[in-house]
Amino acid sequence: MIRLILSALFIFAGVNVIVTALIGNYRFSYVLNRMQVGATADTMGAILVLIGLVIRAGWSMISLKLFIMIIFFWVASPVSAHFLARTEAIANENILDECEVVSHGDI
Amino acid sequence: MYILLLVFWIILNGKITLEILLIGAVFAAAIFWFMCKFLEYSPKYEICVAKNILWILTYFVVLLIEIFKSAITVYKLVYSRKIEIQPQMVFFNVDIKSEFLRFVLANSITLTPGTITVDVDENHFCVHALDYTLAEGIESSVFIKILKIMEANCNG
Repeated sequence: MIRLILSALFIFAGVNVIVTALIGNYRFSYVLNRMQVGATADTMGAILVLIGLVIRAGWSMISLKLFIMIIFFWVASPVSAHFLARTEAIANENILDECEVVSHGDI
Repeated sequence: MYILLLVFWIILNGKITLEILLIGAVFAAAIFWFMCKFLEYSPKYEICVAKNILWILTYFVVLLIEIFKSAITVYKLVYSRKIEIQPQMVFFNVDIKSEFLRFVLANSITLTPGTITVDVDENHFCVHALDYTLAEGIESSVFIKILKIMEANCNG
């Protein structure tokens, strides 16, 4: 019973984060800012939902498979985010209007 | 690494029988040989991991805490009544020599909500931050400190 409540709490929190990211996607206007908010769903949302499912499944092979999914998410999602961001940064000529550039050290 | 490959195979299978174990052992050995021969993997990395095991665990805990903290910041930003943000593009240098550790650093920065690594060129990092508060102190963050200690442990 307590396991059910705990897993329900985690899944609820995860879905909440994903919905927040969705709303955020519409509230921001610029691509990179939207991606930042979308990345929250990838990391926080996915891990919270999957932890909820792990708690629900208990000690079994299924929860180990879910752990592999978490690791896969965490390795794969930054790579895609990075590629999108780099493409935007290279392709957009007016990027300086959208963000201020700061540099530390000699570049 | 060999054991990791074997465990991965067993998890994917979902149960442990003699047959699965034997096939797994053979294929894990084959893949391990392939990695050593063609992917520039060598057992000296395993010694590195064994030396740093405590630091790796610390790194994961720190990463989780950082992700949680900045997720809350982004959460607040999304639900604030009027969105007032100052996005920043930060350039900074990191003197970490190992390519793999720089990859880990870039991935951790991107995993943290609110910051995305736009480009990595040798040891120049280019990071986009949603708000200037999220980018504060990014060139001397906890991640970099821990990764530097790990690198020193590996070489020394």
